[in-house]
Amino acid sequence: MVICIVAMVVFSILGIFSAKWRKIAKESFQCVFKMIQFKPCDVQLEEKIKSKVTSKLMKVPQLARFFYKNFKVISWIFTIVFFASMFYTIYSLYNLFAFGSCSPGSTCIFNPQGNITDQNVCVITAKFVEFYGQECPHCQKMAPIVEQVENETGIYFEKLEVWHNDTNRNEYLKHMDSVMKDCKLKHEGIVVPTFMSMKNNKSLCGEQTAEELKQFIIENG
Amino acid sequence: MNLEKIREDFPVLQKKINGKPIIYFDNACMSLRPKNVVEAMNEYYEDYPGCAGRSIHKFGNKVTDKVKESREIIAKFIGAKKSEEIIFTRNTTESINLLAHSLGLKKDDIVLTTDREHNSNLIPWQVLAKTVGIKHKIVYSKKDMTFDINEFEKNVKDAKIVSFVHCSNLDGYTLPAEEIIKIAHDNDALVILDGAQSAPHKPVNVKKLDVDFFAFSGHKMLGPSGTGALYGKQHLLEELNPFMVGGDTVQKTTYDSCIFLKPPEKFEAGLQNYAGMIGFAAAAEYLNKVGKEDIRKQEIELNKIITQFLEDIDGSNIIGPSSPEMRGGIISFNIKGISYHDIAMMLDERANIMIRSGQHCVHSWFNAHGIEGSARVSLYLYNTKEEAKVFIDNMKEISKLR
Repeated sequence: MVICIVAMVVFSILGIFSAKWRKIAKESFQCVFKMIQFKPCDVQLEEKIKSKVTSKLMKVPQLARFFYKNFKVISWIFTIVFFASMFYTIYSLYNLFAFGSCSPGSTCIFNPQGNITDQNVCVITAKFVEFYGQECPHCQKMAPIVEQVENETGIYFEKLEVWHNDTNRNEYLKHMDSVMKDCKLKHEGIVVPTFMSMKNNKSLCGEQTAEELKQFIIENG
Repeated sequence: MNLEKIREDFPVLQKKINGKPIIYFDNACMSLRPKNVVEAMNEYYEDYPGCAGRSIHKFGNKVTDKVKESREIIAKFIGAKKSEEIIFTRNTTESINLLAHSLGLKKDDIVLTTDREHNSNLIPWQVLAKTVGIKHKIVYSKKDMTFDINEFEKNVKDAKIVSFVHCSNLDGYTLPAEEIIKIAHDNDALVILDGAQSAPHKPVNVKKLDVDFFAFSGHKMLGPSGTGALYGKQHLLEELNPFMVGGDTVQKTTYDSCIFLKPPEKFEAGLQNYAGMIGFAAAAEYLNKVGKEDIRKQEIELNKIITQFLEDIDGSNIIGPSSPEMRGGIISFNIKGISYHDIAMMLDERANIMIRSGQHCVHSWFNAHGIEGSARVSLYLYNTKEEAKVFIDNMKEISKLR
């Protein structure tokens, strides 16, 4: 019975583009209307959907049988997933209008000048480090990007050279376990550039775009 | 019986839906129409679209003659003595309603029916029981679903009317009409026979049966939808009260009285479905030409094939007597674990096989037996062994869903 809710929305949308879906959209609407009144659906919508889909699946008999036998459970799952995704869509739209972002918790406005009073200003308390190698071409390529991010965010990366400086190298090796996990390394080794939040030991290895680097700061700041 | 030639007469059978041919197995509800029926109706609309029995111009005269001729054909089709004994109605339901209202039944008059009546031969009596106070009694079938003649004999003694289904649309079983009618007459009861499923599928001779009234539909026997007829012995029809009254039922009226015409006009109030009557007669002629004995044989042969297959499926159950010969062209069945509606919809979806599902207007029987409904295959003259094979192949796949 619950499947009529999903059917109503899905077929109503499809009905905008093609007349062949309008009849079933109308039937699903009737069904939902009956459901609201705690009356049984009298257009056999559930049976129609079940039979049509089962017929299509009969090329794989086991699959058809599974679908036919578990239709009620499957329709409940569909309905729950539908309501969950509808809830998140509405929530995201609200955030988009209220905060300018669909996911305000995962983003914020950087305030390098300290003149913005918006409640969604990023609050970054972490210390960030960039481990680099003196002659590393990737690090050289990243230098202007890092500088751009620093200017735009007001967050600075402490630059620690690891190819020639043993102290820095030992500092890097202290975090080897978390670097291996975050950067999905198969063997121990120094990867440059590696960006690291000293607050939660999260790492980001290799060349990045400015946006990726900013997101790393937001998520680990 | 030349099946190929017969199928050519039904244009809808040449068509395809989604690239697949149509397999029509819902003939107990309504049959398909051959070309000659459609042509006969078109001829009326195109060549002589007038009123019968009233206007005396060329159209009027032609349609009057055609309706007379159609009535004669229908009378001959069921072996009636005179064409005046045929009243055109919209269907079997209307024919039985006509009788229920015109027989002049009084309080405590007993009407006897069976336990597997179509709603059309059940509800009219239930209504009369409430409004007039008649007593409606039921003769229950035996365990094997055959008619219980002993039970009938016990109940018929005080009955005024015995109204029963000739061939059941529930399971195709044909009741022993001759025997029932004889016993009823011996007990001074009038007999109404619901011939909706017998007239299309088996030879019927009302004279031989000695039945008092015989109701049947045109649309179940290749005729146009919304056509039917009621046969009644002439002297009985003359005694009946009119049912619907108005235009064409009267010889003369004054401001406070009227003189009714003789049957059948007395019962055919208002402008009639002339095209339907003519098409109905064309259908009867078609069936006469093919031969109903051959049709019956063909249906039983297909029934045997389908029954044998269904009996081999685990969890299947065929309603009615086990022998296909006793069920004519009807196979009403269930498969445990698969809904009858699902079976019907999947057959339609997969292979354009059109069957009926539900309680087939015999709700009372299903409710009394605690069965929700059934899937029903009902066959007719144009159905083939190849179609039965497609049905079986698809049912094999569907039965795997259990």
